[in-house]
Amino acid sequence: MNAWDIIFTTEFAFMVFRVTTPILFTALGAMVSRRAGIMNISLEGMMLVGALFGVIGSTYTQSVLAGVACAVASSLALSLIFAYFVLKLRSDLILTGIALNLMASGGTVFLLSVLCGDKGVSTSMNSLVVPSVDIPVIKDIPVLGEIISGHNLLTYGALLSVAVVYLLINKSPMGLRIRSVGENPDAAESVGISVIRTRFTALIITGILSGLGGAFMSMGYVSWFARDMAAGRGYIALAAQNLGNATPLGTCLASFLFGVADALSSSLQVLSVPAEFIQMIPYVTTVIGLVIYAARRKRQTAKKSAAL
Amino acid sequence: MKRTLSLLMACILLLGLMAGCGDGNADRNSGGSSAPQGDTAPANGTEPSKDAPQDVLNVALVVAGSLGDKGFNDSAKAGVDMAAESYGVTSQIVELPSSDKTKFEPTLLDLADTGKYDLIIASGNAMREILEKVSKEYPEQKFYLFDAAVDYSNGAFENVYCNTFLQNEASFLAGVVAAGMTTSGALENLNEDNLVGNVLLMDMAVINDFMVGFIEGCQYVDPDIKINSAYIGGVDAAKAKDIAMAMYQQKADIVFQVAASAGLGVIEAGKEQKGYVIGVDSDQAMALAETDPDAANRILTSVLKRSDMAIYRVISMMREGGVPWGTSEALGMEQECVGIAKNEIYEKLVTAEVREMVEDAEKKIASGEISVGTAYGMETDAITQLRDSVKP
Repeated sequence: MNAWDIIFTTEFAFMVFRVTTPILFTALGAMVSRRAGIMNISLEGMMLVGALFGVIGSTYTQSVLAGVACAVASSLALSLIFAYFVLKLRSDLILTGIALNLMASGGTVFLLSVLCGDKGVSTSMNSLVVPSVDIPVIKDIPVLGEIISGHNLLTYGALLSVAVVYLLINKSPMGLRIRSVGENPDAAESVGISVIRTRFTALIITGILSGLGGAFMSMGYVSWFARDMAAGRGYIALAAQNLGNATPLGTCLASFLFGVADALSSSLQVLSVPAEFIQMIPYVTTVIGLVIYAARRKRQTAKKSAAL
Repeated sequence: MKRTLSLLMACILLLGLMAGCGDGNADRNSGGSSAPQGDTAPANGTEPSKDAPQDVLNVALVVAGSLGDKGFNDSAKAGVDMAAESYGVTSQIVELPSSDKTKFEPTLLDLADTGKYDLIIASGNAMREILEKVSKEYPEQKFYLFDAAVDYSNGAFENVYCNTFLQNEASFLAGVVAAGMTTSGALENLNEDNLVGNVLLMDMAVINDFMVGFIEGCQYVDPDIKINSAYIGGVDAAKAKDIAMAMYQQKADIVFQVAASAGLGVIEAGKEQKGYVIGVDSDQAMALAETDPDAANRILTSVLKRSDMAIYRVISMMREGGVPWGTSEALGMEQECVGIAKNEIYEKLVTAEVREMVEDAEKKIASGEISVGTAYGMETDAITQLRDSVKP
């Protein structure tokens, strides 16, 4: 079996969408924060909390929608805590982020053990998953139908979010405020925009998107919650957002790049290549991506200063 | 403003810290609360333990990782519980996050320092080196290490008894089941390709030991069989599911998972792709039979690695006074510490012919006619070569 036989299959392409979904949601969330001038590293914790509350919500209400709503609400709550500390109390961004991530990691396990007496996984809870849907017409197209149709609803939600976030950031008055606050808070303040309020709004959007990413982890990707199940995806999302230069389309493409790298690392081990080499792919992609990004930015700054 | 800020910041950091070691503390509590249970157990039971109070052991179990893994650690706790029930042993269980190795040493030192435990139980290779150090400092304290062995060439370690498991032998039987079934085509969705999968947690000796046994077991049935093995690289259930999905799509019909709690991802992939799974550590089919019967019915069998039996065995031996301190022993099928699960699903799914092959292999292993290779002491290159030689 060679690598091309594996990569050029509809199953592989399908897998890329699944792997990308949580990263894409969260990366879009990171992007909105970043646009408002906030480096948010608590995404990992937000996803984790979202994943747990998706399970809890759907177990107790037996409604998928309520489960997802719970996931979003819990992630939003964590985002508001972050906002309160960072914006109102002016605590350090990174320290607050680390504290929240640690709190999410320990807190979710604690809550899990209180609710179902289990500290590892929530399999004893009867939680629901978000259904997968076939798209009419498209599903009958050969190849394309097999790749694009039949995904989890949240996967389509993630793709839709790219457009929504684009409209929000680039076409709405709120987006304009968010961007101006991010680029020059003093100037924004001087024309009467409340920096704090705008940043709060941005962090609310981040909370919603990361919550959806978390919900997908436990209600789509797999059907239960496991301790620390975000497994670094929050940080990868942050990197994807950076790589995408904080634009919606760029973030989307970068997320897919990470998705492809991760899918490769899952399916290429059948080849007789050292496992460590293949497991390295997502991280090497990150490093290469960041180098390209940094080089391009350096050139842009050079161009700008030359123009002056 | 500044003062409230710094106060609040300190509070949240403290909260974060508490959350970080929350499991550790919580477990001490639960360990404490389980102790009185142990005290009352003999009172309820028929065995009069009051006559011989010196017989009642007080043990401490240090778990790397956490309870609730539906596998190895839960099984260890079950072993202590079993001892509590039949001997009135009291226990304290301390869970340490496996990611934080700095906590291992102080915890073991603290436990040894109290002097109130007749036996301190630790497990796994991660604890080995620290145990070597601590046991030298407390020569009067008895230690028991399972699933790893201290290096007895470094010292006598007369207060340490170790057990490793012959997981390679049980995995050999799993290989017989996998190869026997994939070539039989007796079940739906068993395709014509004689290809099976093996999802492994990490590239380390104890995990590879399962793989080596599995490969040899498969080859015992069909020398030309292909085995696709892949490492997850960490406890990540979603990734485990991705890898298993890819394996089923690449036409492996049976996947043997050696991935601790992440292995649930493999089982879910088996359920979705209508493939078959071989579980690990505990009887996973029976564990899931009530909550998720669809998944349970895809689990042909599980390779059992029974830390409960090992712990119960050592405590029984201590009460009778027969522990060979200062040595390490490998526990196998003879001690009922490893084996494969022969539950109703196994009886239902696995054909009589394959079941007979398993019985036969069991006998041959016991008599020494089959000697199963082990990853312990095997060169890295040799393992890689073995793994790659059977890839499709």
